[in-house]
Amino acid sequence: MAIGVAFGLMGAFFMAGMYVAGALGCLSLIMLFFFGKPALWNIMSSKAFDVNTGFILVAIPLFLLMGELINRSGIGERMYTVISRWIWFLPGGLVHTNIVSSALFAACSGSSVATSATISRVSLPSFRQRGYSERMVIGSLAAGGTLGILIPPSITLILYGVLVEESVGRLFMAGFIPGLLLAASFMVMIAIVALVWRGMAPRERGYGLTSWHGWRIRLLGIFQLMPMLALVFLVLGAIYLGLASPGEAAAFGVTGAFILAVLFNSSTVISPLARHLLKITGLGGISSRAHRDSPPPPSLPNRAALSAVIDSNFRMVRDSLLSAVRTTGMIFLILLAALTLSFAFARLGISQQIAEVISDLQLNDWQLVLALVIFYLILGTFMESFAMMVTTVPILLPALNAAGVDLVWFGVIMVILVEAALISPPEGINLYVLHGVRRDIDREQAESTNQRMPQRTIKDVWIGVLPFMACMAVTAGLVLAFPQIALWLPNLVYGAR
Amino acid sequence: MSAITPSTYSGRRTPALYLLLVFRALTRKADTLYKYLGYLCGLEILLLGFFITYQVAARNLDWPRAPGTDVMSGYILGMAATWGLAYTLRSDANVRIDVLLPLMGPRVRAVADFVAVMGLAFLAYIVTWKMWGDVINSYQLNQYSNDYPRTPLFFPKAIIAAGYSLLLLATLQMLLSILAEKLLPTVHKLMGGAEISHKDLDEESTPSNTGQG
Repeated sequence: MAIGVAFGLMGAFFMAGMYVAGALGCLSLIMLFFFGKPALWNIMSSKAFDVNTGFILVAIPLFLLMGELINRSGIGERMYTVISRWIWFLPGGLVHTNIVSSALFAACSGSSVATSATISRVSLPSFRQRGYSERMVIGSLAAGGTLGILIPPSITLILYGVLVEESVGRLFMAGFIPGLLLAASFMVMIAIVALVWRGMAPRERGYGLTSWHGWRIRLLGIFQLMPMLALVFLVLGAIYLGLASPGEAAAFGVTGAFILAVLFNSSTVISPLARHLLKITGLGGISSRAHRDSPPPPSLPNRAALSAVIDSNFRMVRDSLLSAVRTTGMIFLILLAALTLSFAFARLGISQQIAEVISDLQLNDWQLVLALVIFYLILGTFMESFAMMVTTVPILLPALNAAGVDLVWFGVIMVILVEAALISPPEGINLYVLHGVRRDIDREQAESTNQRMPQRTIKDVWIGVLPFMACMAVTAGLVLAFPQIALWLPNLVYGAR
Repeated sequence: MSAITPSTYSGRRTPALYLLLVFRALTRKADTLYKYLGYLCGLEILLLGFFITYQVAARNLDWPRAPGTDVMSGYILGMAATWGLAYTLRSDANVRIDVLLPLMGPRVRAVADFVAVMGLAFLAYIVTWKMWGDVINSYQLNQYSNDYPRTPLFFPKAIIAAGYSLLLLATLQMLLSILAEKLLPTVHKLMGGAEISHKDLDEESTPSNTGQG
């Protein structure tokens, strides 16, 4: 009886378009009231206190803020340019840059939306002039963005860890190799498509691999990226080397990202200032005889330039803070509701009933996970990815435990499926992000050229992501068939279980 | 009180019209408050990042440091995560299951919007009610945390309860706003007023665009 009412209500709430937190919260409270006892509502105070003060959850707002700061500082643009100089010669040309930039950006940001939005804003305009297939380009941007939730740090993995009470550090390590594998599978697919259908991606021209000047530019580019790479190593290295917990590593990330973002955003003032200091201290070569008669040192930035930089930094930090708060609020409210639902289902025996139904099917762990993969692929086509995870994981957890499924392994597969949900038509937040960015760029281009804005539909995005979804299916299949792809690294660092 | 003066509306001014204007002005003020609380929470997250970084550095370098990083960070998080809930709601950042929403007509959609906010209001009400009860209990029983530094538990609980109270306030404000925007123009017309549009009153105070970051 209770199980039927629970699923009936859940379906009704979701069909009515309720907020995810409201739907899960109300469902839990109604079930506790009618099938348990009203006194069970007292659990809400301890749940609310635990969810909002758990140290492991500190990592969520901190990683969100880190991503926001990096996203708004303009570092993404520089990174994109540097990476494009390294891999332009591959079949598929600059489309690979989308994937590699997304993978690197993902290591600084736990969010797929932030990754997609940043890289697409930088890259889309340049593709238009070069004759690439728009569908392939936007498909790569939407899919590349999803790497943000598999390559650590990942907000989705933290949430999954909290829901199933699994070590976040172990989950982060488990996501690393599958994340790289997924990025590699995207690149292989792009290369094959570019070789078979040559009109999809023109051959790029750039400095050849034998050009000394080309290597100079590439290596200088790496030097420019050093601060960002250092940030990635600081955050991930601290976790992998066991020097810091994910929450502490996230704090390093925020501090580093703040310094980097402010410095990067102040380059119009810092560069002349540095040149000026070099000149007046003689480190810039002014003391040598040859430079005695050189022009006077460059003037210091004027008041207007300083105030513009301060203003720009202030706006960047303010917008980053607000954006981090919005997402934090959304996640924490849903988490409270999801954990309450988990409690309600466990208390009322619904989880046990579900576990029994699933165990009656006589599936082994591999078959169960395969069945869930198919279930999530279907669910992801019409359900928002984040909601999909928080709604189903607490319900399925007892069945997964009963079947002896390794929750770290399943977590990685789950996140790949959440990634697929992010880009699976017709529902998929990355699709809308990409479509929105494309419209913004179209509008800006139309305004600058005084022409009418082209009317493009979201269907291009839907078609563009399909080959990348196939790559995700292959990667999920590989992780399913060879669990060591996910489990080798965490077992190496933390020891096998 | 320029905010409650119709800008371009020239028809008959009824009590319903003034009530709508007052309501909108209050909504605007509340949204400004939520936004400032959003800034405060964001700043807390940033400072929390600096604080934990310093604490970890101090732990490794033997510098002086504050006791109980985990506990203190948790309490700061408690405020940062809950005092921004009202801003999150008003800036439309909460996720909805929107499979059927695009297919709904305006009337059904309006009902769905109302039901969605009601669901959230119910959750916020229960959490607020139970949290404040717990705050009073902790205060009366003089409960302290088990971890160092030992903190009177009513204090962090009250901060979190206040955050959920703000969320409850925002949901009630939204419910009233939906009702007011739906009913008061009709009442205004029944009282002899002319047709009014958002432009007639003020453009900035419609429920859908207030509080945007």
